[in-house]
Amino acid sequence: MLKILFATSLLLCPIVSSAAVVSSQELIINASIYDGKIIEYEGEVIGEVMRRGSHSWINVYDGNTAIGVWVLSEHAQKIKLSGKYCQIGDRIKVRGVFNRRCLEHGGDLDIHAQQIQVTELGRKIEEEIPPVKKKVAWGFGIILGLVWILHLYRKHWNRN
Amino acid sequence: MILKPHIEDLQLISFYLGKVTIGLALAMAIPLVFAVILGEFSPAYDFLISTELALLIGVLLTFNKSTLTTLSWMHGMIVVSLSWLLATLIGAIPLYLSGHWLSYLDACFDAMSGFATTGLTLVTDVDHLSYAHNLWRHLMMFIGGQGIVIIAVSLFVSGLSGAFTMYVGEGREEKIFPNVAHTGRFIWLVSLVFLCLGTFALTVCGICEGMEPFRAFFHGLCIFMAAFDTGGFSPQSQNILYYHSVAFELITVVIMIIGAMNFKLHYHLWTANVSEITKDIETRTFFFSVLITFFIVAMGLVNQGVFTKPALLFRKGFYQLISGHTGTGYQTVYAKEFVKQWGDLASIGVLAAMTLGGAICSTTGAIKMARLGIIWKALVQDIKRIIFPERAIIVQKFHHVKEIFLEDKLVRSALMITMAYFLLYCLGALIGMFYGYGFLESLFESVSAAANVGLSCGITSPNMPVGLKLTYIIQMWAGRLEFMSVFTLVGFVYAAIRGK
Repeated sequence: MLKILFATSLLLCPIVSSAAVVSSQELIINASIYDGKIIEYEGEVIGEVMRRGSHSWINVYDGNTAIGVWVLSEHAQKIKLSGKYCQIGDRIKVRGVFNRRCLEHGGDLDIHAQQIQVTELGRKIEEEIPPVKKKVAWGFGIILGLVWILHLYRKHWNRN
Repeated sequence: MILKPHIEDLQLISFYLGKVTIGLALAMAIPLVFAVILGEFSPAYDFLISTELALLIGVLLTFNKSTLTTLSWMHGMIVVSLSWLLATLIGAIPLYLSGHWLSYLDACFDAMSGFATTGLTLVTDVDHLSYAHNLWRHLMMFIGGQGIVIIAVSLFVSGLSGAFTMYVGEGREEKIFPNVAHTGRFIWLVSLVFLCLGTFALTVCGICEGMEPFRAFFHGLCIFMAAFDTGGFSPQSQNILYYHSVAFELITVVIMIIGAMNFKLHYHLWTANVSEITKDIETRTFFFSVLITFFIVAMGLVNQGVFTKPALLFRKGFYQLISGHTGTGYQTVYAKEFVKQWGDLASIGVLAAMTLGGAICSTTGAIKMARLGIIWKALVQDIKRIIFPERAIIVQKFHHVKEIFLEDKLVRSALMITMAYFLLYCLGALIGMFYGYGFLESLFESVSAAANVGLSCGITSPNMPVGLKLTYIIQMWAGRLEFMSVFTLVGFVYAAIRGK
């Protein structure tokens, strides 16, 4: 009996550990197939880490859609940067249970993470202003000024 | 004989268009200042260019006229319909300059969606969009919800006798005060008071749910503007799903319902005349239509085995239903889930709610509760006529601010607008099917655009055909203005071409 159990666990181990990374679209469209199963999902952390006691919510965007990941707050501490304007968030790989309709979270489609791994650190992006924008702004400003002066002059002339 | 419009007509129309454009330029200065304060300099340039261009167009349009002449119905209607198109073209400029929209048409789509408080969006990578651009997206909803032209009128013009034509042109039929400018200011007062209260509630909720204080405030402000004006934009791509918070969902439900209420009822609420709300035909119709459509949605979801537990059924099913019924379009499920998992019956329940909308003189789109109530009363009256003896005098009344006798004129007007909406829904659905989408999907998205809802079953995306983008833009425009001003514009253009 023990031999059978050992053999079964040996067979199952690679299946669990080598779960392929699933895309958000695949998870949403074929939610019933993945429901309750352990999956791997990878993407950029966006917004912020929302701490809710021992656990936290993070939203992970894989380039198509973002999915909420329920993670232990101590694991969430690994995340240093999250994606927003002029900031690329840390890219993480999540391994956890996918829920099509999570009973714990009001029926949300989410992932309960067992472990997360930062695969690529986020970075801040230097904001660049294209020179053409500056030129156009100046150009419009000058034209507007001239038209405004003409408008006021015309009003004054009409009044007289 | 059709008369060709005179040059004076064009000058008058252009003068008011100019005023509206200057008003829009001032509105764009808000995100400009916001961008400078936050140090978002590239977005600041986007708004600087757009503000300058809007001012330039505004000044040029007002160049030929400097006196206020009374507006006729035709002028007022044309000013309104053209103002919305011009606002869309100008409002799209900062969006396009941000680089988050693939084409200028996509930016125009979002600008029209914003002003018409629809909520369908073609933005890409919204999660990395600047605060200033996000503020503008939501501000467009706030401005559009109150009415672009009525804002300009209440700010720049006082004592204008033709203002009522523009007020009606923007899909409002009822005045709160005899003066339209005063009505416009009251609508603003109500909106600003609720803005403070709603933003505060959402900010506190956001902070409690683990958001950073500034982001909680910014999201609270944006979400309030979009929920109160029954718009549906959100600063994050996941929409309301981003927050994972039942409290946040509850607050937005309350804001959506308040936004769907008639401003006239708000006035009664402010004057502590609460009984008026329960007596009103719109409130009663809204209550029953929510009840019936929720029953359909619940049956569909239980049948499909999607949400069998009451708590989940209520949290997901009721939220989507209220969001659709009020024409907001906030989602706590992914767009694809509608089609793939909710099943036909639940989708039809939401679809039915979407076609109906909220109250007249509110920020919602679609057929609206008063018309539905009037049609129902007319049906009851006709049934009574059949059942009762021929000599019996059947009188049907309804309460809307005061007791009103049901007249054929009222019924005809309600039926005409309802029919126009259904035609618009069908037209969009046919075009959707022409591009190869399924019947239910095409109808769902078409209703969502024409009724200014914003719920999506996945068709609306930057990759959808150009023809469909244009169709939805026209649907959002005509649906928001309730047809009359759009028809007048068509007539005006026809007269300009064929008139003598």
